[in-house]
Amino acid sequence: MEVKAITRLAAGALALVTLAACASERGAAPEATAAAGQPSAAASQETFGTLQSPCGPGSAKGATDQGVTDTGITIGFGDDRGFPKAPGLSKEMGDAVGAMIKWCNGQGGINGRKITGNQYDAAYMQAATVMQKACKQDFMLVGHGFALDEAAEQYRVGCKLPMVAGYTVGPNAAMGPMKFEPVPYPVDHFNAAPLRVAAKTFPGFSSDVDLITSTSPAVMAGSKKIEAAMKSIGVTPKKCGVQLNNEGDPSYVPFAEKFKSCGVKALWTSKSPDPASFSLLEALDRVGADPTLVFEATWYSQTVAKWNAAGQGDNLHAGLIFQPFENAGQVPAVKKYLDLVNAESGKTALLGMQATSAFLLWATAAKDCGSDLTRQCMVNKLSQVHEWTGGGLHAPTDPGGNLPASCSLMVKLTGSTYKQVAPATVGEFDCDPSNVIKTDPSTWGTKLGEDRIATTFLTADVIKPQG
Amino acid sequence: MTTFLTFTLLGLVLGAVYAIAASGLVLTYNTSGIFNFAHGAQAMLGTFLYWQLAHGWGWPVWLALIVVVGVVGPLMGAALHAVIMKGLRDTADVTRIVVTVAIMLGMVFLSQWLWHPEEARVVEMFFGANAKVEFLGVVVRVHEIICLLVAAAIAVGLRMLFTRSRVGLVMRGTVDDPDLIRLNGHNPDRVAALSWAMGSTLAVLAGILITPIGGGALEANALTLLVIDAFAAAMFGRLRSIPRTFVGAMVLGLAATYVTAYFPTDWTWAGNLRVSLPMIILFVVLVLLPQDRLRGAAIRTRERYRVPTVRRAVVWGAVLVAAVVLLMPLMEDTSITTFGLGMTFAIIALSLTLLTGYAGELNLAPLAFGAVATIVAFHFGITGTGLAARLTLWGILLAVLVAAVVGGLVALPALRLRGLYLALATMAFGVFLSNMVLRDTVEHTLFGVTFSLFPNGTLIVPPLQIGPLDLRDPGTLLITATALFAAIAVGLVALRGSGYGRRLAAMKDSPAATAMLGQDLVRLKFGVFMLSAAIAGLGGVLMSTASGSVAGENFAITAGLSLVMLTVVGGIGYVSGALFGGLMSGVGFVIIIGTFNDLAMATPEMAGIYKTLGQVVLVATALIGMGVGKNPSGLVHDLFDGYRTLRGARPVLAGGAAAGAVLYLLALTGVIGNWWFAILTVLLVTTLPAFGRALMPRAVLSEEEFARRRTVPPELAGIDEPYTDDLRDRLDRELGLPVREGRGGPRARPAVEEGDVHAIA
Repeated sequence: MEVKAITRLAAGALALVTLAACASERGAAPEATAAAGQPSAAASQETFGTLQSPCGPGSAKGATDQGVTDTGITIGFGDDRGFPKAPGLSKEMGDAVGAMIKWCNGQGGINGRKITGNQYDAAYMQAATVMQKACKQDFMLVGHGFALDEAAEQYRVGCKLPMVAGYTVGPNAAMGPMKFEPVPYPVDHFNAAPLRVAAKTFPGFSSDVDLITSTSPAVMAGSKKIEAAMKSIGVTPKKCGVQLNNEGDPSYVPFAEKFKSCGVKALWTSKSPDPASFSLLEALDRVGADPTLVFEATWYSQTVAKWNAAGQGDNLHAGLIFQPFENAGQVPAVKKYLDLVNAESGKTALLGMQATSAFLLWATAAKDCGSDLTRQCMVNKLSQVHEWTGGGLHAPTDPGGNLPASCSLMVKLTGSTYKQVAPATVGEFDCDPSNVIKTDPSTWGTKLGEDRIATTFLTADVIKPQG
Repeated sequence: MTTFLTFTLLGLVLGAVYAIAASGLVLTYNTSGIFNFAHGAQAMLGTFLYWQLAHGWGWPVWLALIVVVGVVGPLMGAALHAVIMKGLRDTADVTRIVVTVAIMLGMVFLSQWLWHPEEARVVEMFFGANAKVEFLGVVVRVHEIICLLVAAAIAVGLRMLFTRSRVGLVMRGTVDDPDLIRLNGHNPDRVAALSWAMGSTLAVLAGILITPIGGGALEANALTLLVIDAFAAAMFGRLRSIPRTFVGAMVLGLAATYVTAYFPTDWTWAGNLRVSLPMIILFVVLVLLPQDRLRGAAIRTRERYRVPTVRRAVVWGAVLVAAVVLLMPLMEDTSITTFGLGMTFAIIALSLTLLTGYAGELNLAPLAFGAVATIVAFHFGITGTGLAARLTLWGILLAVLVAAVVGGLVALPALRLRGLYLALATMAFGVFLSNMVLRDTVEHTLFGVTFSLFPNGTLIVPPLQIGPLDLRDPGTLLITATALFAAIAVGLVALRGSGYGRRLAAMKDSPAATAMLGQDLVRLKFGVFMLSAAIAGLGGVLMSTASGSVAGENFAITAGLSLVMLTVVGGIGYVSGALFGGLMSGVGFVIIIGTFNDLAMATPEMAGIYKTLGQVVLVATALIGMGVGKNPSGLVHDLFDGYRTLRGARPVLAGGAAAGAVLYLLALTGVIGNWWFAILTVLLVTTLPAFGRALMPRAVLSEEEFARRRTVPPELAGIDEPYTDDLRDRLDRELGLPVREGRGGPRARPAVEEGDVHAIA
């Protein structure tokens, strides 16, 4: 239960996070894209959405760092798919990176170096073990997502292994040195765009909203952040006093009655869509409370769609900073992602797009490093990327500055189908730099240095950006 | 007023839910003497099956109900009895508890394997959620009324069964004195099978009734844990009285609902309190309710433990450390880290050897004391920052001290409890700690100090450093943990041999006799509880440093239960049993599952098979009870027995050692992989006694056994020995002549039992 909550929360927070001056359409030429866009020696015409493919033949040479040879680059990737309590946990991430490696090698690799992927299964409990293995053999970790990354972080920092993570969960991992993410969710900044969009769309959201919380520490921490963010945009949650048991409750009807008698018109949750959440929604439906539900991005999922076949959750909305699959017609990058992963019979989901964006971010920086592919060069290049959309998979973010997006779009669930409802133009995001707010240090869960890097495992000799 | 009525009604319905769950517990306890932790898991499996039939495959509701409640429920109970529970006669409380815990865990794994845990499966109410009546402005659904009625009917029915019906009396008699029941012409086995079938049916019915009330979405853990919450209700009636259980359930249901409804919403801990409520009530009820009187006579159980001499313990401790040192070159860094973590679990398991194995007291939440110590060490024992941060010796000493004091405090109210009641009290404490302390993750101010006990839900615990000994290096950690384990183990063996240890053993065998001889039971229990908590605390802190970061779930009650379970499987009366239990529960399963996962990923075409194998291993947990029932003293007891016979057969031992050395060299030189080395070594160690019997029977077997085994060719029979009846029987058998009346049959028995034992080993 808790596990799912943490992962989901992370994913949710990730997907929420949004930034950058609102270029609103994906054509807003990110810097990295512009660099790769020059007709290079590779002359590859392959693209990923709006992004010129970073892959192609070339003549890069030299064993410049661990995992790099004349002809190849060894990276690590993976997920928690072997976790017995949630079989296939975030499997979409490994599937996506696997498909991307194949796609990239098909074009000749990166500057001619073919990519070898070591796929890991942290199975939730084994993140530290996996990290120790990666320390021994990989150049970098790319597009991975381990729910217990906090346990692995000390080993990663200890062996100075840089990563372009698919997602991070622990505060020390999210703010760690040598860490980059395509869709950062730093502990010290928060993207309130989904809340703003909800407040704009639903009058009841501004006046009578409350949060569904649970006893899970991850959900509590997430909810505390949301509460602070709500207050900063002038919304005060009602605090009806409902806190679900993370282990499951014998009956959800009392909570539904409590919400009803408290008079909520809208509900928000950082909880994941699990059977307990469904039970609460069923109970709300049963007692005749009909609040507008605006949930985190994790609620954009096949499981939820399947559950809602009968329509109890027709009032359910989710705030995304990713383009939903339903927009594949308008957004070539989403279609490309679906095509590539479906060709390998992989699982497709939001986190898969996140991992794909991580791979593209990594590959673009690796291409820029050319022959001299070192960890130092990667850290330098990655820290200079300040606008990134993964070829249009998501709203612009700032991976180099470890800052979130400032955008959101909202989808509504009807029956088993999601559809974008805000902004009105399908495929567009609602953006505003003022959506990114600073958070209270007591919610950080770690101590940050001057450069906003977590100090918990910090040593003097970590790889820092130069130049 | 309508609000109050609404919540009261909801509370009553919730109470009915608890009542149905608790009455099943009372039924099985009264009729089999086993407190069934797996009751909720049975309900869960039945409900999943019902969903599969009625919703997944679209069968009519009535047909699904008949199949699940009428056929599968009784069959599941009868099967449990036949396969597992029958073997638990004359076993200690801890053995019975861990067997049902094993079944519970296995069933949960089974459901997670068959039904993906994240998918939504909604069980509809009977007659739908719209079939409702309104009364004084309060809406009641037909299904809820059915549930209330069923709860009442079950209460009345069971009361009648136990007090008025012949079969009920026989059922109760089966627990108290099966021999007397047999003498009266009843078959205790058949009666027990019947009561298990009834209990299981009740569980399945409860699951199907309860699930739609809560909201309808099925979740394996929630239903399983619901019954654990219902323990409190069952305890109201001291597991005997159905009416009082009913009242307890209603109190529980109403209390939980009123806390939700009326507690001030700015009490941030109200949610955690509500969740902990059943366990708080359980603890209070256990402590306050009048207890059974001390048992007069010693109760003989089948568990047997031999205590080694201190000298032998020292030798074996040294052997263990040496073996680990020898193994280290074979292992990668990751394996060394994992192994080190397992060794810290083994230290925690030693606390159980002392408390349960030596003193006969129960503690189902050993990890809770580890959590207490970890929190203390985290707040007061860390120096330095970044990767250079270290845990100090003083920090760890303080942590151990606090764990011991907390152990004493928990033991104090629970001192007059015994057996099952004590076990439940410790479990209540463990769950309470998980819910209230380990979830105290956000800062709050108390007496002018702003703090949170378990900040952010994750504690980063740096490695221990004492002078030049720095446990940052996994190898150093492993050796240190092993040496520490060996030292504590030797200390425990010495303690067991001392006067104090014998007093503990006396308390275990017969509390009444011990008290009669002038021993202060309270002081004995108090002392052993504190010592045990201190050991658990030490192991817990080391476990946290070995993990690097720990969350609340590292100390969850299920993790503690599986540690207790595997220690019993190993042999809870042996320090080597603790080694087995700690290594297996700490890392054993993780390694096995991890290996299957890695295999599945490395060979996609075989992935299905490897994943299935991994799942089968998990589900097989449920079958642990079969082994424990046959051999309640534990695996190491068997192994020791085998080796004890080898004492006279030095060539066999030398041969075994040589074979071991060869395997080691082969592994060291990379000729065979680590897995092969592990498998072959385990095989060698477990089969050596059998080799001994085959190769050197005269040295290994006892006189009678040897004589029995020695076979003379039939044509030489009777030449150099007297011509006995037995011999004539044998010749008859060889020649295929009919066996004479009244002979032959029973003699085959001992050989069969012997074979069974080896099958387990």
